[in-house]
Amino acid sequence: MSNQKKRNFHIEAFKHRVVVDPKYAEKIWSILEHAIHEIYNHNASGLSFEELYRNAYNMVLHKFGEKLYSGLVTTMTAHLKEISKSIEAAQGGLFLEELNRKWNDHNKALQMIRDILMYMDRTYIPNTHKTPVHELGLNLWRDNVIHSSKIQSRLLSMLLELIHRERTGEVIDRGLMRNIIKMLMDIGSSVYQEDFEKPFLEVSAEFYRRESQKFIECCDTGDYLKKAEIRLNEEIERVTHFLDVKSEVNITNVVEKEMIANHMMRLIHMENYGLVNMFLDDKYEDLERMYNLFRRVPNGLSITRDVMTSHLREIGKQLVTDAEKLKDPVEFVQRLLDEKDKYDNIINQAFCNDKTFQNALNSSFEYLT
Amino acid sequence: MKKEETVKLISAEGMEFVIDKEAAMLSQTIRNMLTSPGGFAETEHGEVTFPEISALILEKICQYFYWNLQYSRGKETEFHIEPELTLELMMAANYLHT
Repeated sequence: MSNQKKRNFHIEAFKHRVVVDPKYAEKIWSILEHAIHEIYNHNASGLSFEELYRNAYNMVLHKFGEKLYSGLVTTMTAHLKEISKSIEAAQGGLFLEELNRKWNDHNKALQMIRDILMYMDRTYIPNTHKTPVHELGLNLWRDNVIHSSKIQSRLLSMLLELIHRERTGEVIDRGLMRNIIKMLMDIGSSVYQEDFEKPFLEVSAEFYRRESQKFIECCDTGDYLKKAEIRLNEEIERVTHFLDVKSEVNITNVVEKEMIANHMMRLIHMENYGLVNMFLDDKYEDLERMYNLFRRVPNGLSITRDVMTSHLREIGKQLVTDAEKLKDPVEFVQRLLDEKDKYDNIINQAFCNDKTFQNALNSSFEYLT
Repeated sequence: MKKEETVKLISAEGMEFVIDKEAAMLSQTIRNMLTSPGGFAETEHGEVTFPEISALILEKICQYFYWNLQYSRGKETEFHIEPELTLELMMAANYLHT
């Protein structure tokens, strides 16, 4: 009895052997290829997941994984080439929208394809160290669409133009920008950096160089600093809305360098409007703004401190020479104390109670006494 | 059992097994089938046909799903597998990624 059972057991095992010849593989592959076409044409509802999964499973199981993988690459590439043609054909402003729409389509199709080919992803790919399906999809998109000669430059120039328009005051479609930028980030951070961030920073530097030149010709220090602060905050806000958060540091460096660092000496020493005048006229708000902006650039604060110190010594010298004329020691001491009070206040309110400034102030007054 | 929480698994012979979605999701394959963004026929009707899995094996698999849920909730019993089923069961498990 048990012998018979064992024999049955063996026979059943043989039953599971399916015919393993290339024609079989061809047939299965054409079913899957057809399915991929349908998926890209938004026609998936007629398909049975199970049937496709089973076909992919059988192909890999019977050692036709190679054929499946290379077939996938070929089919996807062909579809992406078609897609990139349709994106190229889009006119003007619709270019970005079309790109965005096709990208969403591609992502959805990619996920579906990956689900059907899950078995291959799990077994064939780790064994042969090939790229997994999802990553493969992103790479093929990058190579055939983003880096296609007609699309690459057009994409970049459209993005930069929109940002330029926003800087000159126009309202742009931020949601669309966010999606496109996110697409670049998804494909790979190197793509984001090379294809977008680097040119973006260069163009921005040029923009701010010109703008700061224009402003410095016509504005006094207080106004210039106001404008610089507005631009800086604008850039930060732009990053939070649709750029990669890592770009914030880079773009703020650009603005700081072009608008502040390059013009620092001129701003401080401007006739009738420079730092010294701000001290004399008790321009607390301007001083605070200057402090906040200059602390962002290298040497910003140390130069400010030096100017303050030399100015204090000037005041002190004046007081001393005056006092000799007045011959009134009480008056002299009073005025000295008044000056010290005033600058204590300035440091407190406008300079954030910065210890280094406090020390500079104290040492200046010691020098006087 | 509410209609929305269940899924129907159909064997090669046409025998239907209605089980909770939670139990069926133990199979990665079934989980993908039901959560795939595509709009494949399975997600529409909430039923999956397995033309290569026999009723006997499919039944055992459903029993396994429930046993697994019970086991993870603390009821530690044994799951008995008849030896003549092991090969087919293993192949089905490989297919279903369970």
